[in-house]
Amino acid sequence: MGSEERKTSASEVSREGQLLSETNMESDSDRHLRQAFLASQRGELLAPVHAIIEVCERLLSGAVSQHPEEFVSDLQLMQSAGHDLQLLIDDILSDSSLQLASIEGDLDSIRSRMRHDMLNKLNPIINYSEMWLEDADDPSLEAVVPDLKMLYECGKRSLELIDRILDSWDVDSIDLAELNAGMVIDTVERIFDDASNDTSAAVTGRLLVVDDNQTNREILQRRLETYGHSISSAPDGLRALQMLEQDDFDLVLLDIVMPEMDGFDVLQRMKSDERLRDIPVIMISALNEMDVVVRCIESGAEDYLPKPFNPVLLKARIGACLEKKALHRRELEYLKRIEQQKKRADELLHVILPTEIVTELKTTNAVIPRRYENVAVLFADLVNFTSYCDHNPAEEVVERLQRLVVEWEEAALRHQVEKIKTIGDSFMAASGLLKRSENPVLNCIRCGLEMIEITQKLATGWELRVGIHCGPVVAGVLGQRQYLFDLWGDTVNTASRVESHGVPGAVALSPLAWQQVKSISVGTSLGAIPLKGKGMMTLYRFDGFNETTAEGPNTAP
Amino acid sequence: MPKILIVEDNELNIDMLSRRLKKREFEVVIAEDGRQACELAKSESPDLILMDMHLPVMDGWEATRQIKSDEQTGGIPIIALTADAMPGDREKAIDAGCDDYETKPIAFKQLLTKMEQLLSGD
Repeated sequence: MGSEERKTSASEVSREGQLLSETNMESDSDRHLRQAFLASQRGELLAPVHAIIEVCERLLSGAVSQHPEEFVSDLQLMQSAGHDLQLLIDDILSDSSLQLASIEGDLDSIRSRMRHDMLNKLNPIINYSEMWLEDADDPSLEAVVPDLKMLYECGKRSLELIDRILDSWDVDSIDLAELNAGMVIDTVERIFDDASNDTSAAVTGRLLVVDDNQTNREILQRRLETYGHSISSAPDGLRALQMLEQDDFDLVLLDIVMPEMDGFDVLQRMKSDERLRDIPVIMISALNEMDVVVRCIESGAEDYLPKPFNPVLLKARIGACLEKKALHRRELEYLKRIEQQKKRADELLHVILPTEIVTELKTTNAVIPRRYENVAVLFADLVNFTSYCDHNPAEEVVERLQRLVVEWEEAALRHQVEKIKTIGDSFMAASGLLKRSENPVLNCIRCGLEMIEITQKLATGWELRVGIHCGPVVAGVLGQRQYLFDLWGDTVNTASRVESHGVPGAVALSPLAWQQVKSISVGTSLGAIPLKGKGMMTLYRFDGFNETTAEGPNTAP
Repeated sequence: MPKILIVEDNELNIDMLSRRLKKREFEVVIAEDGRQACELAKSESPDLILMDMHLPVMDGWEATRQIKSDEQTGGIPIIALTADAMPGDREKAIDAGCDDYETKPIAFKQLLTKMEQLLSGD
């Protein structure tokens, strides 16, 4: 019973603790917001103060002697007030002092310092310039009236800015977030507007806003969406990564300071992920210190923006990012086209060359000529072709020849015979070359028989004469621009001679080829023919297979 | 020629205000702290007092109370000058006995208008 009670109270305590930490987190993020706003105001405030110093310096370095002594000493007073003001701004609104104040929860001390110290310095600037403007009827001061007006205006402007900063203390965090978000939105809008005016580039982008402050997220999302942008937001790094996996985004606005997985982690994970690597990321944070900037850029962020953004800076940066992304996309498209063209070239290569050779050619950029033993070489030549050419238009001749060659190629494929080339009306092929074969001569005989049949079917009055020989050959690719896979050697020459001494409508075999098939074949001697440098050679006409083997296992369908 | 008592500890502000007022034909007397202000209010009988609220020795709030509670000086209009732009400051200044209120940095023309109103009103 006691333990149960204790359990209950423990869970209550933990719930309370959770509530407490949530409250703290909320106030932390409020402070973060306020700090961000103050940091952004520093730059704003420094601009007119710098102008004041500059104008005083210019006036003092000019023809001082022309001016009344009093005017010169007042200028010196204004100048030194300007310097003091600059130091105060740098000191009070510096990152380190803001962070220190933020950690200590003491931004109010900044407020009181600003009120007393800054306004005290601004006072003489506004008043002396105004006073001398009233005295501008003094002819020696006529030339400096524009400068005096400038001093006065800059003083007033500084005063407005200081008032705005002071007022921001009375503004609650939601309005402050609205103020911060407003600056972002205006800028993003202008960028997309510019983009739409410039080119046909995408007017709207898909943006992912990653920020742990809910108010920031909601305001940004709501307002950006009314302008037609597609906005997604993520409250933490993990969720952001999940969303990036699921959808395509054009740009990621990534807060650096987030609990658990911070902006750096998200950025680093994105950059190590091939699919997310190319999405531009702009880091956002109140911490505008250089080491943070450097770390972001080193980690692959496109750019970095202190929060809330200087509109001009943000415009330039998001513009550059989207442009870069468009360029990158074009680059990818270009690469894809090149890839396609290369693929097409490969396909063409495969048409011209045997696959094995293409592979070798692509990997080594050359094909080493090789010697192959026991290759059967087939030559086929059309008889009556020349006279047919004389009596028929070239178009018709080529068209018919084309049909024949296509069918011959297919027959070759069916019988494991590789086409080497066509030379005019003759066809050269080989078996047992790149793909090992048990009986290359048999393959060639079957191929030759089918080719003869194909030729007769075409009924052009053409007859095909086929000759086959076997032996060693050297094979390789010649040429660099136009590849041709070819065979060389005595075997090739002999095969050619066997064909030319053969019989139309039949397959002629050299004695060596005949040896390889005679046990399963019937043939007729065609008598001896003279062979250059080799004396006489008896050719055989292939008449058919033995009855027992005619329809043997290797017979083609 | 109205006599103005400027109560201010900041040299620049004194210089500025007094020069600008002198140009407009005002007679200017200067006090640099609250106690001096009370003394000069009696001895100089100024027509109007411009009172900075942050002063050494005796601050402007206290000086105002003393001047306003003194029969001899109670009728002198006082315009409070302060860098505090907090809401409620105006009420605080009026409560302390000030006749009007200006924030720093001073908008001189606006101050002049207020001064003229108070000077002519009496």
